[in-house]
Amino acid sequence: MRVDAIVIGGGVGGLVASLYLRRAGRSVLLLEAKDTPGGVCRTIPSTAGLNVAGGAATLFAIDPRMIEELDFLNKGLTFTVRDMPLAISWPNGKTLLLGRDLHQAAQAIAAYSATDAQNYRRYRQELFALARALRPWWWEDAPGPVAPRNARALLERLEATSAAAYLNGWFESDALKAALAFDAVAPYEPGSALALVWRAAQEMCGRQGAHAIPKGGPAAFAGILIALAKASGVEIRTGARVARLILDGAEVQGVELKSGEKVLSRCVLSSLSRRATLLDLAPTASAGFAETQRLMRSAPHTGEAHITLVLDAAPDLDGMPANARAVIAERLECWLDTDSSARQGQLPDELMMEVVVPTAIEPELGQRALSVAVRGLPTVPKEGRPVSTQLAERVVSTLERRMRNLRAHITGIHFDLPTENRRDTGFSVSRILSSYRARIATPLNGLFLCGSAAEPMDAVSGRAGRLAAGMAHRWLSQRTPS
Amino acid sequence: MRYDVAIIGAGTNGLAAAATLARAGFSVAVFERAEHVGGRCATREFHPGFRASPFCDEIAPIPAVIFRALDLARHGAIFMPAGGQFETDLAGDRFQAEICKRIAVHSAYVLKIAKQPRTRDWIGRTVASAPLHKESWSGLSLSDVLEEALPDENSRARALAATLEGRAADPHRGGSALHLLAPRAGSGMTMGGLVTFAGALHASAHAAGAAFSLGLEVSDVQLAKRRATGLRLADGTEIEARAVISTLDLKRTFLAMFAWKELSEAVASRTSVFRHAAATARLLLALDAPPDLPEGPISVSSCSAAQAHAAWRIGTVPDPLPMTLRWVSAADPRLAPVGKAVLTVTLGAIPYQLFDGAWTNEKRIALRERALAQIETALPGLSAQVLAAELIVPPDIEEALGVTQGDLDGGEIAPDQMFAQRGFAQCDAARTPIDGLYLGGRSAPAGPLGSCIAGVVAAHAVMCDLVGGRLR
Repeated sequence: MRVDAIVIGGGVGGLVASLYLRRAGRSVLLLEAKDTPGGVCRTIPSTAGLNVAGGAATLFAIDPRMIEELDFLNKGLTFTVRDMPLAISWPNGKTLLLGRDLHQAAQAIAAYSATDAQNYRRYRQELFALARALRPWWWEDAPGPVAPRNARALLERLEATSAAAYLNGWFESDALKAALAFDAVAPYEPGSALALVWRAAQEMCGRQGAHAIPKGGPAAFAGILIALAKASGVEIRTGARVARLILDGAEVQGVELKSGEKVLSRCVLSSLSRRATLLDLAPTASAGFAETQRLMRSAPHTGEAHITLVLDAAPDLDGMPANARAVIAERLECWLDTDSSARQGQLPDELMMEVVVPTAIEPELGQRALSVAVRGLPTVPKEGRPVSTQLAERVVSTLERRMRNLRAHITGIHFDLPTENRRDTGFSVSRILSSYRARIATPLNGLFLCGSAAEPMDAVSGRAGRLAAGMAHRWLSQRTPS
Repeated sequence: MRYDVAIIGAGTNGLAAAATLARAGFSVAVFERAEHVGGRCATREFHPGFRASPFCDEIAPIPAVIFRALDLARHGAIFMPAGGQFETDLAGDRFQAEICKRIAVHSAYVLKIAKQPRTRDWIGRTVASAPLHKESWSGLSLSDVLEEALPDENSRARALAATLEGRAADPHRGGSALHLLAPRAGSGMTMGGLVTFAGALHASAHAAGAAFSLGLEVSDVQLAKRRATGLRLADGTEIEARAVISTLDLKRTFLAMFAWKELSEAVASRTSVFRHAAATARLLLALDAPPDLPEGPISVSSCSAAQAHAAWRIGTVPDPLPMTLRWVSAADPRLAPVGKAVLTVTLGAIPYQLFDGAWTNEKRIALRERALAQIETALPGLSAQVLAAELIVPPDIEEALGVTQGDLDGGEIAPDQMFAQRGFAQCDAARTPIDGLYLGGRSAPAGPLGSCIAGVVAAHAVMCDLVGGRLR
């Protein structure tokens, strides 16, 4: 079998890449190892006929240009929540709500600290202004130099500053700092202040730095993409795990599936991580010695897990509005512990998590569920022991401090552990600072990355898929002049 | 009284700045709080007949060009190699030499550009082309760098212990590799203790005509229209100066020398977020007989640096203690009476403040006993020889040297506090947002690279601005 392009992995990145390649007139085969495409946005079949997303509960980084070009809004994409406020559970048991309205947010913080309230305003303004200045850099594949001169000095400082140090410079309340640090993924890593800026540079529903839930959940969003891909003629094959890449020197010739079948193609787009693509799928050291060494080293210690708790009653949220995303993180310093315990393969003493209740506001999902994202978990558990039971117990007991009687209502749990999804989770300065072109291209000719590994940080975005499709199309045009 | 330049602090940086300026023909006065010059380059008798340098045995390397320009050899500074960590280890030696070379190239660049008058695009251009800045060290972890450079586990452990001597850092964290570029030792020891080196610098500055005021603290930097115009001393004397160089650390400079409300917002916020990471304690031992030890430093600890850092961070003393022993009187017999010996021990990861409060006498004694017990386990029979033991913890260093929290590095070594990010990112080299005020200590961008560099860079910046007419 021979196609113009093969896309490995049917997540949002892979789907977007194959769609754009198909629109450019290329024949595309999309290979998905699991039974359903959709990646972190796929629906998980559950015993109770539940349809909830397996991973991400909210979307915050969808490429607006893609939404426009693929005419999503006329294909049934609507949002039930456009802008989720951030709910911070304060040590005294109260909940602090930070929404878009800066004045209200400052007033809410003022109940705890007057200086923090004052600084929050200036923090948001500085962050959002810098984020706007940096947008071309994070949104396009070949950005020009960072424009405003005053932004450049700030940028130079943030490149070396950890999110923890940056937040420490602004605020005094530990709970506020810890919650804001959640978005930085690895807040003690140098340069992670940039992760906060990158978050603020994203846009959902026309609002800067917003989190949104589409109608039907992220799974519905992936569903639209799958329908579009099928309609445009992308061949989607599920249950097809790729065993290895077929190479001729440093040039890709196709892929071989686990079943032994070979598919030939001049161009392969992978939505797996750079590490998984070049180390596991390509023959040893085909990426070059130095690159292989670098990839071997780059394994992150900590990762993110998504846990979905299926409930038989609406959760008692203890003062938290249903449309908010709640961040539970005790102290900023807990982030330091996550790193050292992850290195020993242990769960941290305090779990850092984000809780969203997608079903409370989305009755169409039919079921009540809590979607929990836990960060700072070990990617390599101690002695290979599965952490899922232990983790579930810890998550539930942490949540029970705020939501009484939660345990009695749980009817099912679904896990998406960092060891399973094998993405290049975590933060790295070099990744966030390089261009899309550098992140998408690989040392092998004809091989491109199109998944979340090609984004500045892990996110459901589609931007890398869209840009990778463009690069793949140009590559194919060069190879086969019509 | 009126001078061209007033310098606060007579440590190595202050003395080097004074000598550089005085040799160029400017009128200079140095103001020192202590009764003697030298700062950390002090050597004193801690037990009758036994002398040691209480804060460090060696100081960071001095660029050869400064050493020659100030004619220090003629004024009595004779360095002798202190016996390295890597006596029989070729790979370790090569690695050490490679790092030293990088620092030397970078310092040469820093010194060169300090002499250039600045143009409009000066800062961005010079920072971007600084040799070490281009190598992007800030994301690297110390353990990764060592693993790549040194194949042998023993030499890696030695290099790690040497780099983190008297410090607290998690070697796995990104940016910890910067500790390699901020050496604390490496110049070797001077005959008669470090005080002779301070003496040579003093003599060089004095011979060139610099004035010295000792034993009187500076209480304020005088401001007129947001420009430093002089100093006020603790006894009320006012000193007029066209420029002021402060060799104190950044926090101390702005917290102690100014009224908080006088500071602009940029300065105030920078000062409040600047971090210190004090972690050094020193134990001076007088021994009855020469120990059976090699001359070079010996690291005595089974504690991993990451564990030590974790303990230090929450305000506890790590167990076991990370420590480095030096038989200083072996290299310099003048420090001990004939037939006796002086040993110094540098302890790392000792917090400035303990989780249960400040350091007390009992806690000091407990730490001293623990350190001695650990030495006895590692080197049996040594503690029987101990005639006297003096322990110095971070608050003692703060008290003696006036460095915030007793941090000998003048600020935590972290990516957002190194190179151009160390002082004021929007100002180059030694300058500050206050016209006429210059930072010349370890908190200045060039501070951690070596001894005297920050002072000389500040001196050159002052000369540039005085001659260029920026400070009228």
